[in-house]
Amino acid sequence: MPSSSSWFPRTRIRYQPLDSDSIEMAEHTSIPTNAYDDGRERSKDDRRFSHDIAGGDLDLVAQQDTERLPGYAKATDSSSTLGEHSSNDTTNDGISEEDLNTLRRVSDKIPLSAWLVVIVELCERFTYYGLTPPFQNYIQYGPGDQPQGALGLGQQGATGLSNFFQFWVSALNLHLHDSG
Amino acid sequence: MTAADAHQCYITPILGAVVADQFLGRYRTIMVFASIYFVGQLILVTTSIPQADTAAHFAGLIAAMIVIGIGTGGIKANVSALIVEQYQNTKKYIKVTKSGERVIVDPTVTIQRMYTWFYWAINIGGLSSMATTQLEANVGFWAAYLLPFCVFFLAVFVLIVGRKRYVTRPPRGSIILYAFKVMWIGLRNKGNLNAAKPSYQEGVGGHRYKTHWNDLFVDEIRRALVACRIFVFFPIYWVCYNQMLNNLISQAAVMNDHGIPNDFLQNIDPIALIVFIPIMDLIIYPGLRNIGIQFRPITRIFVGFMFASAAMAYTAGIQVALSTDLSSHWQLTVL
Repeated sequence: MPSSSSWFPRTRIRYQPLDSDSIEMAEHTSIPTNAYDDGRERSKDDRRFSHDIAGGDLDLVAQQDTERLPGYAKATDSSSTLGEHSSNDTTNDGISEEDLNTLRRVSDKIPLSAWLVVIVELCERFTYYGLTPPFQNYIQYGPGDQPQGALGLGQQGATGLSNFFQFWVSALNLHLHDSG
Repeated sequence: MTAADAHQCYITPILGAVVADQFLGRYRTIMVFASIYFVGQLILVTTSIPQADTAAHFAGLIAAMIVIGIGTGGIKANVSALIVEQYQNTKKYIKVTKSGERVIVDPTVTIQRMYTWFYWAINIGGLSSMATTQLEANVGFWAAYLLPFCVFFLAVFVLIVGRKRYVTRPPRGSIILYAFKVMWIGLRNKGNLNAAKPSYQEGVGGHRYKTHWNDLFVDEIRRALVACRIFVFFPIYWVCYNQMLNNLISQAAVMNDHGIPNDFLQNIDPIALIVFIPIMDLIIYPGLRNIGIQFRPITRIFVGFMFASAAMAYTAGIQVALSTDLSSHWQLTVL
């Protein structure tokens, strides 16, 4: 079909026809991942994807939140903030409504490169959590003490330095506790 | 994964993310910060050998803390984002399994699965101090620091070997910087975030600010800021939590240790997490839901804080009594 979005870029979703071709067009409004670069029709307004720029991982939560919002807040298009419509953004990818509701959902094969990233993360966390606990004894006690240490700065010095390190890491990182 | 779990992966770390999005791209940023991390560990291992004097120990430790902090801050941000980029498919499709069942292969499920493994990797990595604290007690600090160094070398090796395989996107400009700009405009306008909306800018005539975002982005920033109120209470929690890494280790040092290194004990925390997260997610929370009790995130945080306070009161009591029996504290992190 001719691209109506080039005539009315802002109102595209409101005029979404019901034939199955149009579903393709609405699709990128609710893609949960960040893989936009595979030849799909792209919006003229790149900023619509800007939520994703930091890594794409915000979108899953955003999508869940969207389902609980009132209609005017639902659509990802900025025109929706004017409260003009509420449309069902979810894409069917050409799968029938019945199949969507009845079939079991499974995970795709996880790519090898993702496993490699998992290994990298495992090693990085191994390193971090392996390094930090010995710091306390290292700082608090001296070489001849029991337990053994190196700096002999006492409990105050050790706790102070340890808190400094925790602060420094979080200031640069801003992550909550990983494992919880 | 529950919502509370999932949120962990969506908190976007700052430093590394900005560098990656704005300048280098994800893979190269990881490599740069990995090198920094590597240098920090090298400093730590070499200055912790018994032959070094106290001044070298001290200078080395401070330098290592600063450098390692930069390294881990930069890497963490990008590795958790890199993993989701590896899965490129965005469409659901129908597949027939070997048993003849028709199923929908769903990208959302796939990414959840990837993150589940990712968090298992983190939890397993968290157990590493079991090994390092034993090495510290039986061999020496240099050995305790050398083991993570070697394991980290494996991480760098995997990064280099797989460099052709990783799917990475070029830098595109960082959303975090936009977010700060929106907040800055809000502050300049007496807290009115609407002033940062393109539509508002048009309304008042003329663009006072360059807006690289749409109205919805500003609304989302507002929602995020409102949600952040809960974090006001977190420093208190972290003061308690960090005790496990410092004062509680010192406390354990003066107790009867039955042959267990004093800093080995904080391993109870990651073990408790591995045990309790599935119990909470699969049994306790669904059970409460079934009998009609909605246990929402704020309530969970509240109860978790209560547990943390109780644990602190308990350890304070031990300290007062200077008890010699090895009472292991444990802390339930509900969050």
